[in-house]
Amino acid sequence: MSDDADASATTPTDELTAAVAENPEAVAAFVRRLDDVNELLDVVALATEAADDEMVSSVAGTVGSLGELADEASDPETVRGARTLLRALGEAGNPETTYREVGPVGLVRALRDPEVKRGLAFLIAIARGIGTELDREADA
Amino acid sequence: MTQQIVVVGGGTGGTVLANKLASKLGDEIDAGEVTLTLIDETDTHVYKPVWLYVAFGQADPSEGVRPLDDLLDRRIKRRTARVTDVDTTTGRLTLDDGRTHDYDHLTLATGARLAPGRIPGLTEGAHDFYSEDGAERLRDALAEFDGGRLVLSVAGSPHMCPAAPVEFTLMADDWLRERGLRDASEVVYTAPTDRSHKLPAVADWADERFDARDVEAHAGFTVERIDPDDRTLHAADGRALGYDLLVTIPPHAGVDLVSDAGLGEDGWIETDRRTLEATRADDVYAIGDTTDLERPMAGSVAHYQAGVVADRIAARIRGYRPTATYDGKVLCFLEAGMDEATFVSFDYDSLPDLRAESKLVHWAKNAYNESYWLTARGMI
Repeated sequence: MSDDADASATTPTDELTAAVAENPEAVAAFVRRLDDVNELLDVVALATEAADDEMVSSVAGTVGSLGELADEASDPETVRGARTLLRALGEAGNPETTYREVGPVGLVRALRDPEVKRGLAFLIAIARGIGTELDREADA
Repeated sequence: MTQQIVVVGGGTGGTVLANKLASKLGDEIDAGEVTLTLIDETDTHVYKPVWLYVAFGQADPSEGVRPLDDLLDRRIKRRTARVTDVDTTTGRLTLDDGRTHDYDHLTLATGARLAPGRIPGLTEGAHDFYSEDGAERLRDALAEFDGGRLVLSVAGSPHMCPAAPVEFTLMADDWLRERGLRDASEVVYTAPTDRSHKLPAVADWADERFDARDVEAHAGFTVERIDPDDRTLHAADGRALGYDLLVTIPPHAGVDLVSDAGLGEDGWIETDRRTLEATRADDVYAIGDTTDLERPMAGSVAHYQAGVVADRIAARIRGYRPTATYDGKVLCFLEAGMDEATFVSFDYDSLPDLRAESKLVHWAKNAYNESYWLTARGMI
């Protein structure tokens, strides 16, 4: 009984031999690429040997923070607000526009412009939002 | 009472340490319980490995310079001054402008300086890539070199970047081949060590490549003087080598402050190899090139040491016993030419075992050179 059990047991070497026999082309291709594989492993070894716990935590922490920022930035309402701001910046940044200094008279005139009034409403909404957020963080 | 942490030196060690301390002790600094000051003679941070590439026309010196203010955490106070004395009894620094600065926890990361004057004829006869000016002059000289005897000589030991002499030699060999000048040139290497490099594994690796690439190597060659008129390099044992273009690794010295403050002999601070505490003073640490530790003068050493000291100082500030220790870790790249590199990594308990060079590791070195500023900021 035990001899039959021994005869049926396979060793890792048997498994390897069987795998090579079943996949000769794939194994041959892998062997031809061993130099490339070793070069890749050298770079992995470099990273493993250079890094320490603190570096890994630091990088992961930064990725995490950026991820959280991206998560906030991807909120649909935030995207809409950002898009409005960015387009407005694009128009304001027109290289063909010359910006002359605005004095008190010019400011009052600008405040009568319907587009300026609507833009101010948007900026006031941003200011209100910042104030609300600051209050929330202070209370937290 | 507010605890004052002072870091002297704005190189790799000092900058990384200050940023790590700011990160660990941010709350305490914001609460006014701790102040963190970095003092450096200049207001810039220099990444010196760039100079090797400047010499071969592959980089501009400006790529290795950033204002310290761009790299330091906003919680760090910065002073531009040279520290002329450390009174370790009273915990007081004296600065070159006559003012003083007190400390409770001091770290000296004052580095090493070049001392070319120790070898007669070196300044007049030899080039180097251990300064911005030196690298630019060498770049111009190499560009004009159209064949002849190019000699790289290690004229001082210890020196910053122990891999650099072998790197330069192999890069020069490759560079001459690319320009079709190798057959018209002899590439010569000298080192004062018994073999081509102090580390056996690196010496084995370098000797194999020197042999294969017809580099004439002279070990045990201690440079005594240089005759710029005769274009001859003279060793203490009487050997003499002619050159057409001579590049040396100049002798190095510690900063005067170390001897003046009684912190060490020969300009290097006597330092505990594990805790990195200065052995001749309390509340003083030393990191990087300025220590007397048997470690290479490498940026990676200063970097890993900064992590340990940051942990230890933070522990002291918070009132518990520091336990972080430095294990001797070093990691250096080794260029094997213009497009392949390997790396060497070891610590107090292991010796390096070099892998075959590859393009991927060369690219990893290039990538690290570009992202070094993240290290300076204490991020990686």
